[in-house]
Amino acid sequence: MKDKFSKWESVCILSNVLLHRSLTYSAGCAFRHTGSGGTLCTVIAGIVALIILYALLTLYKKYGTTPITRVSGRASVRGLLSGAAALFLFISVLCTLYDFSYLIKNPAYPNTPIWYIFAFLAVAALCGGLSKKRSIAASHAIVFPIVAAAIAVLCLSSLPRADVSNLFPLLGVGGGQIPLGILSALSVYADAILVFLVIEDFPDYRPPRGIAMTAAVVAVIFNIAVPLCFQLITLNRSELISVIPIYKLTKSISYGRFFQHPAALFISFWAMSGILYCAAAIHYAVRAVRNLRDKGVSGH
Amino acid sequence: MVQTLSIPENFDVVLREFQVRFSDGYADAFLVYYDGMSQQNLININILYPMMLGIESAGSESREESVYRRIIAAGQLSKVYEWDKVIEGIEFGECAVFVDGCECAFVADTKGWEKRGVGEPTTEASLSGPQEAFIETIMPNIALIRKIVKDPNLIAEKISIGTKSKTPCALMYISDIANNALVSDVRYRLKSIELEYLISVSEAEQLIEDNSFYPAPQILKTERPDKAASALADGRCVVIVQGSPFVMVLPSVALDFIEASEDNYVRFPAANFMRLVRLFGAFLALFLPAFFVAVALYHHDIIPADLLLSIEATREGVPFPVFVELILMELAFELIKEASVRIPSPVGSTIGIIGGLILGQAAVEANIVSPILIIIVSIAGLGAFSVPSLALSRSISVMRFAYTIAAALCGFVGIVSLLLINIFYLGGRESFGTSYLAPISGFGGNLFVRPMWKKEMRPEILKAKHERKQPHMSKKWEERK
Repeated sequence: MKDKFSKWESVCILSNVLLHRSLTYSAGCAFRHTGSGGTLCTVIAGIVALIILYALLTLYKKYGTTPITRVSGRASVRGLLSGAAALFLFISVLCTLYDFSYLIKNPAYPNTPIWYIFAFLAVAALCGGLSKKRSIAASHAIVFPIVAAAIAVLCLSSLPRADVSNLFPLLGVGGGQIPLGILSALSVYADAILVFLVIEDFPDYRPPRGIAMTAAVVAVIFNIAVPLCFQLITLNRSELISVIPIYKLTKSISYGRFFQHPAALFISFWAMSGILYCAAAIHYAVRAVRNLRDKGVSGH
Repeated sequence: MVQTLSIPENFDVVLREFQVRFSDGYADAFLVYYDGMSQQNLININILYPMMLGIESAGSESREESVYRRIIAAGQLSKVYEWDKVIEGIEFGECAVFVDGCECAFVADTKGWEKRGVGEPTTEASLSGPQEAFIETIMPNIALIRKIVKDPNLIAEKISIGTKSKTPCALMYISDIANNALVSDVRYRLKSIELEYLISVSEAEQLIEDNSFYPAPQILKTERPDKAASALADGRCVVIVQGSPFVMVLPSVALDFIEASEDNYVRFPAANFMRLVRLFGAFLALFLPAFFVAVALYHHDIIPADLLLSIEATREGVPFPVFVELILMELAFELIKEASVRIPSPVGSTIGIIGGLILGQAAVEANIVSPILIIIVSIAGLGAFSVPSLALSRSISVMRFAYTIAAALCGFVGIVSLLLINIFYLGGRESFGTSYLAPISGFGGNLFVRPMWKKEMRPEILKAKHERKQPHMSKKWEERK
């Protein structure tokens, strides 16, 4: 029991895994493809993601809390899955760190080289990734609620300037582009593979599907809320194709005289979410590699 | 004996030779004690007088039995057969009596060194709670706890630490509540300490804590008997070290360091409000200077242009960059803090004048620092003082520099990176088998004070033998309504 996560820790880890990507990419691609249909695409993508995850978890039910890298009876398949998972996670971490550094450079660090920001984030992510499993759980359990609260505050702060008419036309540039928008909005859930690795540490006293679905619902709510709020306050259609909608959203709100533009402050919360994800991904990638070395190929 | 206690070089050792009168004749005897550590009156009246006066024979009773049972009138008297234990007793203020023809020494408890009376707590003052604090002597400290707990299951185990000092320590726990594994772990760690002299509880703390390098304290030290008693009732262990007016509470987690004694003596909404204020204070102490540096160097757009201009206007003429200016002010503040601890109290007000006027006003007028920075450093300093634990307050002062440097290097990203590294580090740490960040990392932990009738369970993290502290319905009178 000591080595298992609590339900709260498990939900926080998975929610952050499924949420972090939308903070950097959000529905930017969906808006580019469909214009004002972007929010609709994120809603549909969220529902589709939940259905797919539910189906996958139902299929996975018989394996209990065994990670996907160990379910196969064949050593070669286990090795292949471990290698693929580790490779995917390492690439995903590099992409996340680079994209985040690249995206915040212009608005917040115009005179700082990208590698410098990257190095700071990477050091923190590596420290987390190479630390104990308990560190991953505790850090997510403490930090994710703060990140979620910050996003909720951000969304609520934008509501006074919301205009429902900005959501229309609902299908944006046309229904033909909607599937493309949905697919691009679905990409933020690519890290769902981690669910089948983190499952190993889920508490025994709760069914894994329930925990994973709770986390997914939390993430989907936030993934929908951000583009929705962004679109509600964005009158100019050309602004919808912003690369980082959430940054635009923070730029658009003002908390009075002192915190006029809290955008820089919100960068902290994105950074938290990004580093947490990278730490978890590195941790499970390292475990997958260890699995590959210890059990994957030899089959012991 | 003369050689072991370095007599006569040790002028405070009293070695008195005399004769004991038994019914069958006289026997040579001597007693040894340290002047100043034993009560001379007690020795004269209860040991010397009856021994020299002698007794009538009681049948076939041996001399050893006669001395032990009928001559020496001491409440705590033991027959000791080992030389080292006799010396240990003498070193601890006891009086050893050697009688010719007896195979043992008689060691009587005659401790009577000068000691401070039980006073008021100085670092954990409380307006509504008890006004008693521990002192430097182990036995009164045990008694202070025992008179609150009043439970026969309260155990006080004696453990001596130090091959030469043999400093007496007490490991206290309530046997039917505290987890056996925890008690064993604490006992094992204390008994495993190998050093010649143990002087204080802080030394013992560093010798048993899990990690000595990290600035955050891992073992709570308190000078309040009520706090120690409350910890025991929860299922924790308490360690008392002779010579220290603080006791260790084990295990301690991060939240314990923001818990003030006052929390248990005021109404719970007020206690929660005060706790939030303290958390906010700790947050400001840790992050405000770093936040200012990050905003000044990287994130100007977070504050409006006119405010930024007015801040910049106050900095006009200041020759140092904002980071250097802040570090200088922080160092000056730490200097005042250190000086104020050591300055004699009659001239204590001088420090306020020096700190407030010379380092504050004069530095601003000389354009060495800007007024806004003095405000920042003062608020951060106040925040650190709002933390109830002195150890945590000091730790915050150290970490504040680290966060300021991180902010100077990479703004908010630097602060966040360092913060997460800290959380990752602390998240993996344990204090005697308990996660250091528990129960912050678990939803529904005791981050907030609960009303008395809701304190039904002991903290889950302690894995106490009995988790329930009071019945679900502790207010039985409500059932009649």
